[in-house]
Amino acid sequence: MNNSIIQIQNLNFGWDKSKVPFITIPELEVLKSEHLLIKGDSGSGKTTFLNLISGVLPLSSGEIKILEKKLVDASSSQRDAIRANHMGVIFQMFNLIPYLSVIENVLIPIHFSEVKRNKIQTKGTTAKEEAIRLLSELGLQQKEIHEKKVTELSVGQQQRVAAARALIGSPEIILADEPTSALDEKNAMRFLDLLLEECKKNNSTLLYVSHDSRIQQRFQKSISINDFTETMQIIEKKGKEAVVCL
Amino acid sequence: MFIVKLALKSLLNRKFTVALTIFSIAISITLLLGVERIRIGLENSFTNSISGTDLIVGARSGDEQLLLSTVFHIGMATSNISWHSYEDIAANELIDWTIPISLGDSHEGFGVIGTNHDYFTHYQFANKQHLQFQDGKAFQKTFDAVLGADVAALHNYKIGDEIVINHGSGKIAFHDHGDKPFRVTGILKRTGTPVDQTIHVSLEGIEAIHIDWVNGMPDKHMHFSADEVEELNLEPEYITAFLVGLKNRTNILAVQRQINTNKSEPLTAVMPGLTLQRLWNMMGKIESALLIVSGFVAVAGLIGMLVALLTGVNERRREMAILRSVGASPLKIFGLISCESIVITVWGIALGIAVVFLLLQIAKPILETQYGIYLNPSGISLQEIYIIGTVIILGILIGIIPGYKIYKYSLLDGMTVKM
Repeated sequence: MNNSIIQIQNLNFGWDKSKVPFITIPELEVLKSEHLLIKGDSGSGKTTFLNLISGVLPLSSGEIKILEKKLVDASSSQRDAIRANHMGVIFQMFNLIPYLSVIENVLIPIHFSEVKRNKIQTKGTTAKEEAIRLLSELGLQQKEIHEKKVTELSVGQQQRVAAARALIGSPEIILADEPTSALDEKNAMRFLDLLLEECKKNNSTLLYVSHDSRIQQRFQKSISINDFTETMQIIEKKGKEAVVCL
Repeated sequence: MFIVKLALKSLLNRKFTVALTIFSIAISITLLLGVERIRIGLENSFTNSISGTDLIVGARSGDEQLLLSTVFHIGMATSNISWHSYEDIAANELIDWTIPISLGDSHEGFGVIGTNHDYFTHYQFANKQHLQFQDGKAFQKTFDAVLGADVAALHNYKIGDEIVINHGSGKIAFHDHGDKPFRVTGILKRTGTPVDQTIHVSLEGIEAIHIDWVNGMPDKHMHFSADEVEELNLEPEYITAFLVGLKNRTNILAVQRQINTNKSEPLTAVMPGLTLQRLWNMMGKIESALLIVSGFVAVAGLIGMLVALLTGVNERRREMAILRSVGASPLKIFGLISCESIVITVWGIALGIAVVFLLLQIAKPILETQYGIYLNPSGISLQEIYIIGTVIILGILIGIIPGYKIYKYSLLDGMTVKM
């Protein structure tokens, strides 16, 4: 049985088709339950890479397979469904809905995915109970916090709510876009450990984007997004040389 | 369902802006429905004011002028008709009944009609309804008076109360007939017509109060007391107009022609139904102008909603990106914004309807007594349903614009906002 959860081949993506691709990935495979750190400088295309994986952005060329499904063949709504059913996302700025309570924020993905709802049902629990369990495991066990508006929480607490929202429904893939950049080092490490632990429990694959190389040892594998762009630059350079030779 | 819940919570989060938008739509709806109600009220008051009368006869004048002065007590008749002419025409074998009318006096701004008992027997309004007494009975003596429902209600008059009639029409009178007061003997049931704002006395009563008057003023050399005047011959010399009911309506044109070509005195006979319709058509243009203005107000309200929603679009891009990240399709996001527009529009309409009904309840007595416009404060007419439906459809269509903008942004932004 194929253990790979994400497969990328000859991926090219550019904002303008007539210009040089912004991201080029010749080949990348991410295995089930793997925790992958994606490093890269600001503006190197880390977030764009996550948007490509999540199916929000369409590919210019190449192939991405998520759980053996080719994104290039999928319609926009099919890509939305893949994201809703199999992924959870954590952002740098947490991106919680400010007018909803903690529990309501955590439960949002359940409303867009029947697959996630069914997964919770097979556990013999309700979505709310699952949300409370996740929050508790992430250190937000106090009941009064659950009903609070997210804007009333501290930055660290908000980030844990965002993690619970990504983890609910046990998605196969967790995409984390620099989720600790707003936290101090101590809290960032604590949050990262909690996230890694939860992903382990859920058997979730984690794609963790960060420019902080100090966290590298906590991951099984790491790649640099710069490597891809460098690859692209080399190809481009060779092309120019070829033109010169001619 | 979640989208609706989310839309409601999002709206509650922006209470102030949303409340202002709802308020502006409510004002538009209030104006639109208010104008429509007043239009219907005016039309009903107009068309229901007289029924079952085949002809109105007065001195030679315009048809509309004769109708307005006789039925609505608006303006003055050009001249009087001699009692002799009236008796001649009333004796026509084709005529079933007549109601003589003598106008020109008033009480507290309400018109006074001098007439006879045929008025209470034959006068019909709305769908051929006869006048009914709420209290008391028709006048029997010279100085008895029967009040319309509004006159009695406004001044809290009861049977036995005395009233003084002023010379001439209007609220302010320079001369009154205070030496010969009238006693209230009857109060009519509400009709929703100008009858409610009329005081009815006998023709003899009108003759009695003017018997010692010359050129519109009390005669300085002659005076009769109320008791003395009863002894005199009080048959009127002139009346203002009279209503005619025919034995057979097919003779209407023939009788009208006879009256219009009357040799002894120049007279005009008008068919009230036709004249009312013509008058209403003239007023219809004003009504259309009012509706157009109200329509523009409604459009302004909806544009206000569009502005409020568009202003929020940029602020809400992050929110939409979050929803995209958790699997919401751009179409669902479009649905969310459209849902918000629908909710705002429906709330605006509901508030507008509530305000209309509240204002109608408050304004009803004023409109009825001061302007003679009888409003129906309950139920929503088909026309009003069309208006409400149109505003809802416009609200939905307008909601598509920010919805589409957000949809485009959500495609562009993906899970992160680039601003």
